[in-house]
Parts: sequence; structure tokens; C-alpha cells
Amino acid sequence: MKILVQQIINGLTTGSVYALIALGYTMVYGIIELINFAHGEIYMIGAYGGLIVIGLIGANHISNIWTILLAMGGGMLLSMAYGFTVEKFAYKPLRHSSRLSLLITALGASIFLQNFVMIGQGASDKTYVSLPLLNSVLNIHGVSISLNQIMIFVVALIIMLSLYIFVNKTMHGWAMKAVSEDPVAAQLVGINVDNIISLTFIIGSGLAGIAGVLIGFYYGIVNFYIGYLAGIKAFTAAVLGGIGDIMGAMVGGLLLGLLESLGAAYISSDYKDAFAFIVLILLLLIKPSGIFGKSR
Amino acid sequence: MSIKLITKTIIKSYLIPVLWIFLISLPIMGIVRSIIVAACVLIGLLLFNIFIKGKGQVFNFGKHRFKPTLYFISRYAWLFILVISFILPLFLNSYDVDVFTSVLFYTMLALGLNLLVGELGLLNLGYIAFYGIGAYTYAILFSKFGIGFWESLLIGGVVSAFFSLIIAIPTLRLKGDYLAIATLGFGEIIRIVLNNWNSLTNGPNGIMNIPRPAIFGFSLATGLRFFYLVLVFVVIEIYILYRIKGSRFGRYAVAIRENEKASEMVGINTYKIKTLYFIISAFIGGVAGVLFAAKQMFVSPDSFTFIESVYVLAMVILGGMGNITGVVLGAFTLVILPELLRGFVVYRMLIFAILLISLMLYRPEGLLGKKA
Repeated sequence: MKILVQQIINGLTTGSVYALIALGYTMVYGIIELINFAHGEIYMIGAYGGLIVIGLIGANHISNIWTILLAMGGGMLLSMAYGFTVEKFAYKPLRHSSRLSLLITALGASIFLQNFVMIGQGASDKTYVSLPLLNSVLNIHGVSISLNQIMIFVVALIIMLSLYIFVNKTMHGWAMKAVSEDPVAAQLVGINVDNIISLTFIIGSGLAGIAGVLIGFYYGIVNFYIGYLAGIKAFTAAVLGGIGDIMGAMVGGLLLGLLESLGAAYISSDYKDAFAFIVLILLLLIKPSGIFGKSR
Repeated sequence: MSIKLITKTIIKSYLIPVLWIFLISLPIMGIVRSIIVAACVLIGLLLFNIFIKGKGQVFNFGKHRFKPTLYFISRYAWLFILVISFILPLFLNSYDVDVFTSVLFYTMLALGLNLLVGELGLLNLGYIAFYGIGAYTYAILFSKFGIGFWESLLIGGVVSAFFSLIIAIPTLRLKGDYLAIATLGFGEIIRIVLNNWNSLTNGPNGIMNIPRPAIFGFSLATGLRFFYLVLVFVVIEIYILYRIKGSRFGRYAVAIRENEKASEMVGINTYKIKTLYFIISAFIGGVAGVLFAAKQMFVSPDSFTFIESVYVLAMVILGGMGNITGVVLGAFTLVILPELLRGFVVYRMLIFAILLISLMLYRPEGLLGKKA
């Protein structure tokens, strides 16, 4: 029982991070039907952004909370800037070409960003500062939760709630939904489609950036290739929930995290990465549009 | 144009982007390298505006715009390429022969994938799994049962085709991107199984000491001889693919790609055709895999990652989907390009990525693809 609860907690922690990244995939897919291969790299850049900010301010001079907040802000801003730029340079000129050529530029952008960071920051592992605040562990009836895990969960929850409110209650959110339904009609009613697409990329990238910083604090190590696996997993999560659907990405991410940690604990830790894909294929066979997706 | 307009254009389309790039690469690259990056972007923007946005306006001779005569080349290229590829390797050193062998392997794969992506319009993101299954079939058959290369060649293809049937039957009913995602999942599962089934595949360490083949007692063990072996296979493959393309099945496939519902209406069993294509394509992948295992004399799961699938897909799309010569050209470009850039050491893949993006921006339909 203790193991079960512990695994659920661990699963929810990684799951929240998957969900944050998956949101970016799903929003971009919803709006221009592109599997954005470079999104994993945007997440990695976020992790580096946090690292760079920590290096600049020096973690010893200010309180832990400020360090965390500034790192998150830095990671988010850097990711946003890169997401925006990638869209402008690699995707926008191909807006009216076939979706497959877009897929290839996305791949090119992904290779580019990986090597860009490798050259700028070096190929070796970089370590995040270990903050005493985050390392403290709560023990509840033998189940341990670190403050780090609580932070990830809370931050993810706040972000998802605000995103939900943004999409459903604001003008820009409505415009976003309109563009994903029908770009031409959206343009006809006076929505600036280009701006909305940029906005989607910026928001999605910002979420991935925060996810990167959270994972940086959680595992303590970042590298230039961390975006690859996280990207595939998050994409799986997005499909699991129904790609293009924002609620779906959140639930899909959490579900994937749970599946992985429970599968690793009870079945086999070697095949941890395979569970996600087996479940994915099974789900696609039963309900191809994902848990929340509308059938098309 | 007034001076004011020109200044405005320069600021808007050059100054702001360049400054922006400088700004965002500053935290990652540091000051000196950011200036270099910004300078490269400036040059890139100039080239982009001249060649891509203006669609070759530099070459505008009155009414007749300059157009690359790629279509002409694509009609007669095969003969030329065939002669060159038989003669050229005799004059190359062993490293270069290896590079060209790798071109051949990717050509085999890209052509196999082209059957699905180009002819049928089905996106397969896990194609490398069939390559892996073929390679491991030979490795396991040899190391456990001592079965030789030529038998394995056939068995590898069949095993691969069998696996494709398992994945095709349920997933081919899915539409578009969902099929792509299901095949991606399949590819990852295969890789993870290869990585973890220690008793059969020896896990991440892979299987070593796989022999190269001999034919009628004539050893094909040297790099050059192996090159010719693979070349023969590629030629046979291209011949068969041309025959398929010209046959009834080839036309069915095009009909399905263009309009699935309509082709069902005229009595084509679309599901059967798709499954058939899936099997043929997997068979090709499997045979290529067996050859690959013999070439490397070693297999490990690292050779069959997702990024390899994407790489093969990039060859198909870059060359021009559905065009066999184009796909060969795509495979050639994407293997040779990184080799030519070897002198740039760490900047190699960076430049490769930039060239890949630029090529796509320049010709979104692929090098030899038809304009939509």
C-alpha cells in the first residue's frame, strides 16, 4: 500500500511535467496541425534558461523562493523567445505548403537547437543548484513527499488552471479556438491568424520552459539532449488525451506519468518506457481520437 | 521608392530580426559567438529574400524565368547514376566506399518507405523498426542456430513482413496522423524490446561477430565487394519498384492517395492494397536490415532509434515524394551532406540543419517533386 501511494505521488510529479510539455504540442497541433518536433528542444532550452539565470544571480545571495521564481521566469522567457523565433523562421514561410514539408523543417529546427545549445553550453552535464528548501521531505505514514514534488504539482496546477481560464474566458483564447476550428473563417471575422499562431507558439513554449526548469530542480542535471525523450513522451501524452484538446493534454500527461511509475514498480522497470507506447497503441485501436478528442 | 520607405524596410526586415537573434542567442552563446550568429542571420536573410521569397528573381530574363531543368535530369538520370556508381568506387579509398555503401542502405530504406509515404500517402514514423527486425533476425539466427547469410536474407524479410502484418491489420484502419503515431509507438516498442530482452538480443551491448557473406565460395568480405553486393540489391529493388509503379497496383495506390473514398467506390479494395504495400515496404526494410547487419558485423539497438526513422522520412520528402529518382537523390544528399561538412567538426550538424530547413523553404515539394 505504501509503495502504491509512493508510486502514485512520483507518477503525478513526472506526469505534471509531461502535461506541461504536452500542452504545447497539443496547442500547436490544434492550430496548424503540425507535430512540432522542435518542442522537446524548447523544453530543454527552458531548462538551460533557468540554469543561466541561477548562474547570473548566484543562488547564495537571495532566498530560495526568489531563486526558484527567477529561474522559472528566465526559463519561461527564453523558451518563449525561441519558440516564437522558430515559428517565424522555419514554419511561417511554409504555411501554405504540404504538412509533410513542415514536418521536415520542424525536424531541422530540432537538430539545429540541439547543436546550438551543445556548442554554446558544452556537451557535458550541467548541474542545477541544490536548494535546501526543495530538499526537505515530508513523511506522512511512511510515504515521503519532497517539497520539490509539491512545488512541481502546485506550479503545474496553477499554470493549467490559468491556461484553462485564458482559453475559455478571454478574447484571445476564443480567437485561438476559432483559428483551430477554421482558420479561413476566423480570418473572415477579423482575427489576425498570424498573430494568434505566434501567440500559441509563445504560450506553448513558455509552458515547456517552465517544465524544463521544474525538471532541472527535480533531477538536478540538464543536458542538451534531454528534449528528445521528454518530447516523445509528452507527445504520446498529448495523443493519449486526444491531440488538439487542452484538457486532454493535462489528463494525458498525468495518466502517462502514473502508468510509467506504476508499470515500473509492479511489472518491470526495464520496460518502463515501453508501457507508454503500448497503452498508446491500444488506445488508438479502441478510440483513435484519444480520451477527450472529438472523433473526426 | 522613397528613402523613408527603404529605411523602414531595412529596419523592419533586417535590423530588427538580426538584433532579436543576437539578443536571444546571447544567454546561450555568449557575446562573441552571438555576434557571429547575428552576422550569419543577416547573410541568410539576404539570401532568403533574393532566392526564396523572390523565387529566383535574380534570374529573371524578361518573360522567361530561369527554371532548373530538374525534370529532364530526372528522366535520364538513372542510366548516368548506374554507370557512375559501378565505376566510381574503384577509385575511392575504403572510407569513401563505406560512405557510399551507407548511401545505398539509406536509398533502400527511403525507397521502401516511399512506397507508403509517397505512393499511398501513409505516414510511417516507425519504419526503422523493420530495418532493426531484419538486422536482428540475421544476428540471432546466426549466433543461436548458425544459419547463414543467404537464408537469413529471405527469413529476415519474411519476419519483418510478418511483424508489419501484425501492426498493419489493426492500425491501417486509422486515419492520417493517428497511423503515424501508432507506427511511432510500434517503432519505439521494438527498440525498447531489443534493448531489454537480454537473453535473446544481448541488450544494449548488441550482438557481435556477425559474418559477411560469400557467394559460390567467393568472399564478399571487403568493403568494396560488399558495396557491389548492396548496389545489386538496390538496382533490383529499383527495378521492382518501377514495375510495381507501372502496374495495376501502382495505379490503385495513386488512386487511394488522391481520393480514398472515390477509389473504394470504383471497386478497389483499399484496405487490401494498403496492407499489401505495408508488407512489401516492411520486406524491403527487413532485407536491408540483414544486409546492414552483415556490413556492420555487429548490431545494437542504437542503430534503430526514432531519429533514424525521421531521417529516412526526411530523405523521402526532401527528394520529392513518389518520385523514385527524387528519393534516391534525397538519400544521397542527406548522407553526403554531413560527410562534406565533416571539416566543420562541431558545427557540422548545425550547418546540416540550416541547409535542411533552407532546402525545404526553397522547394517545399521536394527536390524532384511535382508542384501541387
